[in-house]
Amino acid sequence: MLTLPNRIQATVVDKTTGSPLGADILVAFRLLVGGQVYYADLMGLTDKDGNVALTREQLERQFRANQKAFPMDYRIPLADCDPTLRIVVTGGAEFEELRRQAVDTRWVAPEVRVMYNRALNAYLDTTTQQADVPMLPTDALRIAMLVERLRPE
Amino acid sequence: MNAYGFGSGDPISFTDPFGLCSKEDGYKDCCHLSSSPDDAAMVYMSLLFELGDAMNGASVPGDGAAGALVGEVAQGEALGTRYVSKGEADEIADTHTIPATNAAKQPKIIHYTTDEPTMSAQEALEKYNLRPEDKPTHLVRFPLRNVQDKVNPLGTVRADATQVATSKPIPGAHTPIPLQA
Repeated sequence: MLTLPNRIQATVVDKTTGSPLGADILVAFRLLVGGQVYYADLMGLTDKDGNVALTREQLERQFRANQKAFPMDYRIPLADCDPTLRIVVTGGAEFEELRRQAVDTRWVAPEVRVMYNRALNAYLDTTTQQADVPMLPTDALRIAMLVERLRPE
Repeated sequence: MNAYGFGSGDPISFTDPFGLCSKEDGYKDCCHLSSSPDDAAMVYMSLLFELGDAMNGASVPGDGAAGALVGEVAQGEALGTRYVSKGEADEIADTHTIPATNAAKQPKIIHYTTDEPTMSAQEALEKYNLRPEDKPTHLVRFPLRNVQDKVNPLGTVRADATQVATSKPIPGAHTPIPLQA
């Protein structure tokens, strides 16, 4: 049973220095059912302080659009997901491939394509951070991501 | 031209879209015409599938031993079926691959079935417990041998239906076919 917080905020921090990594890092999230990834989407690009946030309304709206686009794949309501949130920064060659696909795929929304083009993730190592979502309604869930640089920008 | 050359000269009893029907081979390539609306729908459906396969460079039923394999799809091969939205149908029509990512290029599971396909969006909706507001617009078929892995399906289906899921894209998908609303 998942009770989404009103706002999810992730801060991307340099694993070596402990300081925020700065702007234009593309952050994604995953929701699980029975421990298996069910719904994955983007939170967005970080700001100059390494922060990115997504409101519950935005998340639900994005999920609704995906239900419409993939009628066989998203039949479970968000409320029935595991009380866990996985935050993902995809980096390195894996991100380069993702960006290439995003640019080549016709049905990727223009604003999503812009995010992939701006993102500096290729300089970072792929990192996943999992957090438990409280059972009771909460205003905000804040998650810090310690990410390693693969090379300087 | 012999207007009755197709359907082995019996256009009342048979349809013969590919001109292969003959008495000599026991009428095995003929399609019986039927007065039953259900049978007529089945004939219509099979012709649509054949058309989709032919457009995709796949096999055409009855094209003989030399033509048993055309393109990637073997004749008589087991096929999976997936009910999709117009957006996904357009993408598959372009790439002939069922994507394992959503429109944000994030990973997703692909659900499909090995049941006999239906051309009715309403029946698909009821059989696979789809949300009424998310009625599919097309179906797409693909060779089951192109499925690269299997994961647990997420969500239930009606007792008489089956569903399977994969986390990898499925190549070699046929041209999507519009469903009846």
